[in-house]
Amino acid sequence: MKNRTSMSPLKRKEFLKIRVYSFVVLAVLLIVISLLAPYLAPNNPNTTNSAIMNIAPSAEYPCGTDRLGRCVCSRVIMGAQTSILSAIGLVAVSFLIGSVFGMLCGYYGGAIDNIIMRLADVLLAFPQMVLAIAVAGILGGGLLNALIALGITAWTLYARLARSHTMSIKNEPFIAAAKLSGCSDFTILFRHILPNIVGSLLVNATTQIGTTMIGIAGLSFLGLGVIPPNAEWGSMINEARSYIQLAPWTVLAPAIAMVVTIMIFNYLGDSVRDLADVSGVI
Amino acid sequence: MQLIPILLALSFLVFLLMYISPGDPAVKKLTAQGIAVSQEVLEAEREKMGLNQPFFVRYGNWLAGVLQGDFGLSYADDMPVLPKLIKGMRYTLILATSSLALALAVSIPLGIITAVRSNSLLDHVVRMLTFAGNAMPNFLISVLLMYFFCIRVNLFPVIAKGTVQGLLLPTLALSIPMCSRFIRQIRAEVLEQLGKDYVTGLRTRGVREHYILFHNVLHNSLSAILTIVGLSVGTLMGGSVVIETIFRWPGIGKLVMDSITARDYSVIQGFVLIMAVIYVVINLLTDISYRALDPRIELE
Amino acid sequence: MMEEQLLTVNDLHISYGDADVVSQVSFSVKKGEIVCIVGESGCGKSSVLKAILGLPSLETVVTGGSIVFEGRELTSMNTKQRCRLMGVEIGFVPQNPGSSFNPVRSYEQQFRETLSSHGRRFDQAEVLDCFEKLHLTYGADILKSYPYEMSGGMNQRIAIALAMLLRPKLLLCDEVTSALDVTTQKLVVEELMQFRENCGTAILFVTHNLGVAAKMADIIIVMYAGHLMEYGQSKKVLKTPAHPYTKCLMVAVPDFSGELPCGLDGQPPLEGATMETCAFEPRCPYAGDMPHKNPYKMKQVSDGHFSCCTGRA
Repeated sequence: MKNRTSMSPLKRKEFLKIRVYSFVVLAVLLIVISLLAPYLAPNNPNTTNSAIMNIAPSAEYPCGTDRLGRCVCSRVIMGAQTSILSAIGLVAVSFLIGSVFGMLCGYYGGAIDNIIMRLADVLLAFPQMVLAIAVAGILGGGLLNALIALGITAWTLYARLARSHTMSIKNEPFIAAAKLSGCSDFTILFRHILPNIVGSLLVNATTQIGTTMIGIAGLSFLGLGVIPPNAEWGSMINEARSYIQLAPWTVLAPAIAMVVTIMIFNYLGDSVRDLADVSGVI
Repeated sequence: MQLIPILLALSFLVFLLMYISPGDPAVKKLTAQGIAVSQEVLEAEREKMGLNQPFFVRYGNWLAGVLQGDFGLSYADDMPVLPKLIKGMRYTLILATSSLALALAVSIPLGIITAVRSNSLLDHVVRMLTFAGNAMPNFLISVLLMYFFCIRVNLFPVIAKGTVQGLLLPTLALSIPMCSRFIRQIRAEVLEQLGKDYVTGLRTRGVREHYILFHNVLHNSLSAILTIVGLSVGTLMGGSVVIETIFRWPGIGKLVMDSITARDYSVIQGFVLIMAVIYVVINLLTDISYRALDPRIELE
Repeated sequence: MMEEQLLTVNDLHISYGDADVVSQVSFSVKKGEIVCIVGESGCGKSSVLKAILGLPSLETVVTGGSIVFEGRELTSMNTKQRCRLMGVEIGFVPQNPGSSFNPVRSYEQQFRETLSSHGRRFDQAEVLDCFEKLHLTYGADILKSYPYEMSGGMNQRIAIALAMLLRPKLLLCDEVTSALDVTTQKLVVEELMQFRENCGTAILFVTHNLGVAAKMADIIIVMYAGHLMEYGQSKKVLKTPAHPYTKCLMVAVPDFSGELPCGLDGQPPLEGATMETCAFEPRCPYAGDMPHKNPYKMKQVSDGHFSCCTGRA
């Protein structure tokens, strides 16, 4: 009976590694595209032109124009910059803050642990997207406010994970040995504990990139995130949806870009998690 | 119970956020009601809304009111907040129930079939579809559904007025992302159960395959399925805000979006409180049902 | 003579992935006979049982030879036909006592389910009687309990009870005493022998415990590194072992005289089944300078006693 698990463990690990590498390459490609966005866009994404509103894709405008005559292709590319870089940025920041909080909670326990974990409980006592919508709405729109709104709950995942890992490691003999040899708490936390838990945390961070992108796009779609005329895929879809019958490319171009990008990052997250499972990192 | 302090803290946080955020609610209210904003009218309105009082007084007053069931008056139309919330809740509950029911009706059979026939053609096709489904935000699915069924084909009304016909598309829009998540997770759980020793034990005793699948594997998978569903409630509530707004389904999500735009803080505060209560209650119910399914678990 | 053979295994080859696990194994079990397969861990004895069971979830693949049960060739049966044999014709008690039952459903539910799968009614009196025979007291309470609440020993005996209820013609036991303490081991061995007395069930018992084999077996089969080394009537093999490996095993059994037993140095080879020369040779105290020719050819030592080597080149 042949099934996937009949591949020898070594071969499977090789296969998983190759998968991870391929998707890392794709993801890096996307990141490079977003960084170079201004140079890659065929036209100025913000120039409006009432003469060429909603025209179909052509040589000069590869994805056509939107209702204000702006080049959709350029806006999609610039939108990549907004979506991808801010998603990665938010994940990175919440990962850092959450992990540090979690390590402190797990290591010291006591009052710090209580306060931070109660705070996390309070924030999680509420469906995350709803809270983000409420917060973003109250703070007013804009990309930064949207990121703050999403970030308010995002750090809790890493904090809880880091805390539980730290708690299970801190009683290990090698930590006691480090303490006895006079290491400061800071050294123990960052030189001894962190390297052991960072693997699992990073795996979780990777799987969160796709979700974060969807969150940012969602808030922008509702008008609570990136405000036009800045280009962002979610807000582009929102702007264009009333014209979907007239000019479907205005919705399809950002939609396809968004779905493909999210798929790549999701695949990346999955492959990293599969490899980590097999390598015993998690 | 930890519920009370959490609710207090949450309401305080939201109150605080609204206090420090830009925009004058009095101005918004007057403009929403179509009243011209002059200095005296504004001052009078601010006085009436109690906006000139210090922060803690305002918070205390509001809290006292809530404990007596009075959630204050909506800034948009001076109507009491609580009945508005409850009416919206009814519609959202209908939408949530129908989409959850549809999602489970599709995901559980598909999850089981793809697990039992793992690596078959059907399995691969389903997994591709669920992967695509996971990568599509719910607002995109809604927009596409609307395009195909309302505009292209004109089967359903664009504005869902709370009728059964209007329920269909929002339900689909909410169910599709849920199905994508559920199928993957149910498949993983059933596969794990099928690999366990007791399944081999059952087979060596000659127990029939459908007994093994439905009375044993499914039974043991139920608590995992319950977890999956419980975890999705939060996303369900969040998703419904977006979908209700797009399809204009008169639920509590649409209400809160409108209130955010109108800076109607009374409604927003009440909404936060009610949502938190519901969310915590649902989590509690999920915990309780675990015990019934797996007698090894003790309630804390 | 052939009608008495319940199970005949002929020239069996088993692979696990790329490696050969069992090679050229042939033996037979008569009706009502107790046959013990003994050998060190990893010699392939459990694989033989799993090949007889042939369930796809057990991952061993028969790559040669035949297994004939009551005149039917098992290796050419499909899963459905195989499943019909399970429980009522061929029973199985696994090594790990906890793993044969669903931990979160009560014993009664699982007994009912198994019995009704074979078209039999759940008769509480019959079940309790079976428990009695196995010295399981408070049978009614046991039926209401869950497997996760029971100790390993209890679970094992309940598993045997269920196997007995189905009255198979052949019962396969995979190291069922290995996870038990000594007193429970004795109980289980006695119960199995009683089972054979009452129902005429043949038992194929796999173990690395020579003491258990000595007590139970009519026939003992000695395996090493996937090959058959020696087999014959229990008394003959134990009292007058022919194969060097068996001789070493006998000496290695600890007794109460206070002297340490002579252990066997070294480890069995991983790829023993695929070796052309005798797999035991590196550890064999009788090994000469010349390698064995036809190291696995069975020769008769005496009536009903065969070995592939007698220690003389």
